[in-house]
Amino acid sequence: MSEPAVLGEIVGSDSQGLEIECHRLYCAPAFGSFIRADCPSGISQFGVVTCVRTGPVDGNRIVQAHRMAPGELEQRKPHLPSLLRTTFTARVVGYGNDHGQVAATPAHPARLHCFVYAAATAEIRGLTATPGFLRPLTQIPDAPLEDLLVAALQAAREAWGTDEKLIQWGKYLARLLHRDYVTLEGVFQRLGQPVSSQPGWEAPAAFFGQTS
Amino acid sequence: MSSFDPFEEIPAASPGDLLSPQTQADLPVGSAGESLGVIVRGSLSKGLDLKLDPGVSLETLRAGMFAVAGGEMFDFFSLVTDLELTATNPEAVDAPPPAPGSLLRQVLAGDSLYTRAMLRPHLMVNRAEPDAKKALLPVKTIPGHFTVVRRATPEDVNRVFGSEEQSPYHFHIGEPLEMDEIPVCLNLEAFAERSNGIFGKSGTGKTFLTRLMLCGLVHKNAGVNLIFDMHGEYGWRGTDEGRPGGSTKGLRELYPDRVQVFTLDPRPTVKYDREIRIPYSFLEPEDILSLQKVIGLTSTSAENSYLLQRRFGRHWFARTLDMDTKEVAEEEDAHQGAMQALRRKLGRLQKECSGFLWPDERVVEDAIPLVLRNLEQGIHTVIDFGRYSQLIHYILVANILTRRIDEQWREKSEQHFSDPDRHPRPPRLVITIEEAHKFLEPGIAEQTIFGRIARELRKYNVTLLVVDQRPSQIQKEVLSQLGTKFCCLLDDESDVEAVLAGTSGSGGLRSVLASLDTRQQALVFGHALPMPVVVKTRSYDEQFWKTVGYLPPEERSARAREDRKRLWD
Repeated sequence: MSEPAVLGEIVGSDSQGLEIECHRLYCAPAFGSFIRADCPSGISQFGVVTCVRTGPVDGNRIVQAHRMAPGELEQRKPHLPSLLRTTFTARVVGYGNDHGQVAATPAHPARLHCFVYAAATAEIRGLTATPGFLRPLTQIPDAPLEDLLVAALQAAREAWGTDEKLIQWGKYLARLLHRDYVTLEGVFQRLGQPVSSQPGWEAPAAFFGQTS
Repeated sequence: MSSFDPFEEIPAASPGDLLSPQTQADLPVGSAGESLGVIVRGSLSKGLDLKLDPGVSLETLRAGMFAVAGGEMFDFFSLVTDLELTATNPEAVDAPPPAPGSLLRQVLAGDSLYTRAMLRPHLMVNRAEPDAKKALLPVKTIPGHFTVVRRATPEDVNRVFGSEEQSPYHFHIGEPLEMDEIPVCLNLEAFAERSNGIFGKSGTGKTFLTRLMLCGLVHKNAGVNLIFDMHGEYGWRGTDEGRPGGSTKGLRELYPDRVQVFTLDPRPTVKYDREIRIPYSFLEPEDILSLQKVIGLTSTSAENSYLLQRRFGRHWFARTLDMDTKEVAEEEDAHQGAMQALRRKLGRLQKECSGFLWPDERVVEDAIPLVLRNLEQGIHTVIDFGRYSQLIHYILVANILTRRIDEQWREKSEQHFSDPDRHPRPPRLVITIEEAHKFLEPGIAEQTIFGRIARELRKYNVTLLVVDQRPSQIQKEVLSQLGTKFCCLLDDESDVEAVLAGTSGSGGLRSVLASLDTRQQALVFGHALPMPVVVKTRSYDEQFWKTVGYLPPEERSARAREDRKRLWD
């Protein structure tokens, strides 16, 4: 069995959230997907991707437009990937190990430089067996709540393979969002529609694959 | 990996399910015993709020059906009194989700949008008490939050209402709503102890219900019946539009040895046992008072009859018809106009009742003592009015007969109380009157024998079975004395109000009463039942007749032959 691909490593953490830098430019997991941070304690932390961004490594630099045709940029400025990085943030929704997962805040934040992976199907099922994972997702300031919930619920739904859990999560969400019926309505109307094959957020260019 | 202990798996359940302390049995939806939901709020005075489980179909619930809230110590037997669609989030109602079956609808159903059922507990059953009778208690407390409520089972109905096998006086009157084939029994001994009422608007089945109860009283020997049969429904034959020929068996046909029919209108086409002829001297001023509205007398004129009785004695009626009103008014210092009006109205009465109200010298056989003897011997008696079915005839005859009974029963009861060894108590007598409000309306009830019976004759073993469609017209005091009430559908608000006055939890029963079917359904409550119940009343048909002891003539003859043979062999 092949080792799961490393998505990146933790560059910032607290009890509620993780900031992860991708090992490959533009190789962030999808918004709303479940990730796992493997910690030395043996207890992994699980999160849902809430924001993905790419920008300069040096915060003082300003990215400017080069006005080059597609393909020309890569040829004329091959050093560019070394100046850029892709990061993403994840809201911690639970923790656990091989024996089980629970949707709750871990006792200690994840250590920096721990590697982060996409959560396995079984782990997602363990985390979402009860609807508690939804509560932290509704408490993120400035997040596009409806989109985040749609993406996270869709990911969890795919892990379970049925809509049975979706109804249960929905009933819980209806209580969490009792003052925001419009969002609830939007989430479940979108989840009720057939899933279209959307293009990736941004396809990584072949030679941008390595950060250095 | 460390030996991180897995967290206990949290059961996958809806929030509503998590509230339920008991696991639902694997029962089909709508079946007896199925869990309906949990109590979420309530009070002793207003009843309980049941939040329905999402899986329970609202349309399987009916106002008036039974539900049992299983508290920690007691089972609370309750009636569903109302159903309500409600929402925790009003916006969900304002912007209804799209197509049925959509994800959003499924999400909202049962939680954000849910159904409340209002329950009125009427009886507590102590689960720790082995004696079934002692276990039934009046409701003095309520079950706590999240108490599971379930549909009643046949065992529950049996536990509360008893069964015909358990007691000789329990009589099967029908089935609870949504519980076919499960008998609800009424204690006829308790029923006959007090005056009772059968109410409902026209065409709701009062007559069938009355026949049912009369058959029960005869079959179970719970009392002897005197029935004033205004419309010819209870004697030999009765009407039943649903049967071939439009007629059905009367009590006389069902119980040929135990019932007799006395008629005011002997006619060749109708069977009867005796004729009734009433001599003038049987009339008393009280009869005129009770008729004052029917014959259009002022109260002054009606009260003059007392004056005339004092003047002329027991033949006052005959003498009044011939008197010189001017002379009598002057001598008695009475108003001549009132006296003239009285004579005129008595003349009308005599004319209208001339078929059975005869001068004393014409009456050869006084049937009234025969009626009384019958009743004393336990022979049920039906007074058939035949063509004399106007109110004037009915009220007059019922009054005259009942007054005589009253005198006799009082006398015999007093004798019994003073010397129980020598004088047996007279049998328990149930007098059935239709259009009862004509006898018992305010202003009349105080002066007629029926008002007195309803109020105070229970101790003399005489009670009334009042059949009426306008209970609001009956005097409140009389209504309050009725022990058990059968209420078929009533539309008029004042009638509903009158029937339920003084009943515990009447608010809830009002909505139950309003939701009854127009036929064969009745809300029954009062002394003879431990708690109110809506019943689909038994059908008055061959099967019923068989269960109440009817034998077809050929079978009766065969049995008689067998008995004779056994006697001589």
